[in-house]
Amino acid sequence: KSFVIYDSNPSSFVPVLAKYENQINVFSEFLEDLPDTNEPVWILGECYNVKTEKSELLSDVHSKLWFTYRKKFSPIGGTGPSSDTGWGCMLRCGQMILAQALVCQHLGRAQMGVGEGKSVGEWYGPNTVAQVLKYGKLALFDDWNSLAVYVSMDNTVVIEDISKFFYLSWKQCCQGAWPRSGAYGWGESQPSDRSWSGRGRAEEAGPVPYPCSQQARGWRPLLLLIPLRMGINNMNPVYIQALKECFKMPQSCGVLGGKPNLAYYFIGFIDDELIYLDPHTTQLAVDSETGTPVDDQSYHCQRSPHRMKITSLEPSVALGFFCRSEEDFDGWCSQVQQELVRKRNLRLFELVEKHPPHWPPFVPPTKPDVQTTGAGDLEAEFIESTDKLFESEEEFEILNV
Amino acid sequence: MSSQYQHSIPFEVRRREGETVRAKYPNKIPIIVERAARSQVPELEQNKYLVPSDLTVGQLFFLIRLRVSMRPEEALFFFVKNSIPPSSSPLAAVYEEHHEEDLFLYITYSNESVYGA
Repeated sequence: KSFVIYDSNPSSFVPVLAKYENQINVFSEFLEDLPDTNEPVWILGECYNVKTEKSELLSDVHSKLWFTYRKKFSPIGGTGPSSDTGWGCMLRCGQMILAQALVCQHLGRAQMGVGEGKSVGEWYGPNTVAQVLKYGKLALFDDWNSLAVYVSMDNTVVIEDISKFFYLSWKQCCQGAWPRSGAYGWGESQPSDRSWSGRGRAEEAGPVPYPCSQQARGWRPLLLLIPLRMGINNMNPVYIQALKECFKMPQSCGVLGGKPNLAYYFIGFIDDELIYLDPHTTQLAVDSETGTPVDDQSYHCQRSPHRMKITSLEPSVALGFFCRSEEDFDGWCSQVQQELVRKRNLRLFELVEKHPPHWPPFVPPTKPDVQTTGAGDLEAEFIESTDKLFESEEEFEILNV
Repeated sequence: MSSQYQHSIPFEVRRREGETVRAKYPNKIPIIVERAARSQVPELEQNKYLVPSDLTVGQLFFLIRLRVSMRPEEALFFFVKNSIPPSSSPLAAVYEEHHEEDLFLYITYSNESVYGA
């Protein structure tokens, strides 16, 4: 299967024909490097036994799209840098997590540019890159069925807000703007059997005119990004197990993070080591005209998988999950409830049903320009209103909420 | 944890004040909110808060977010003793478990790290 993915420098776009294929090569270099252990290796929700499934494991790692620094691309903005060496590593990691989501979906064209108030050459963090993926020049919103990107705030994933993605898409579908294929209607697909389906989407959306297929009614595959900080200065070891659990989930789409200053795209773990793709290699920009197929060799990392101790992880990360379908998302929710939320004091993030009332209203990202304006307005309004909630007494500020 | 407040004020003074406000405001919780030493987030003008005990962790965090003028799109992270307090917990529960001997609860906030090299 082939698809076109737009690599970028990060502001001009180089089309690449990325061949996603399960080629089994000879990985002699890899074999020596992996520890000979009975511990399972987890790569984005897939479990491997190093002793018996080496070639499958290495083939999986090799197939992941790898984005690195590039040089000699056309200068950004005409006069800017023509290489992102030294500053673009977190953006490259953002491209990798996005590419992974698109690979999962087997579709798509994605473009990425810099954004979120940063200028070219500035360093990025995991949350900022997540926001770039959400609001930035993603150009994914042109397609009704393309990727929806949700970025959590304050460690909290709100199911109701994610459901709004479905609702909006569904409405578009039933307004007749999109093709329908007459499979089953989602009202018919035994919603009562699924633990997370009672979210009132049908009620919100009104009566179903006639059956739409899941695609036509607008399930948009979801890239869920959860920015976290797992400790003030260093990774707090109490979160190691929860982090590992994330890589075991079938929806795992990797983790953005790194060592101090160095951004990596983490795709799995073996024992107490994380496995990652490293963007810190400068390759020549791939020179091609738009739409022209390009050799994808430099977009797959041929060497043995990089590993590092989990305890050396810089605490600031963004967890990534890809939910292909509604059922997939439901499955993710129940697994999170079981694995993460249940461990009350060791949880990494929170999963809640309803939009927290003290938050500004959730606005699903639509077009980048529209969204940016809306967010600014909300902020001003909220700051004004909360000022009245404070009163001062002696040295304390007393909150009366 | 290194609290600037703890460093600058002797324990006895803090403890006395903690006892006083606990007695005067039994339904409020004394909290010190401080920026993490090496973080790039704005400093709060006020670090000492008396907060209703039924306020949730998440509610307090959102109020602090507004106080430091950070947009929802900007990452802001909070810690109690280097751990992430569950946002749905009432502050009373967090206080009960984690307050210091001076009867204050200490909360540290930080932003994301940036990467580039």
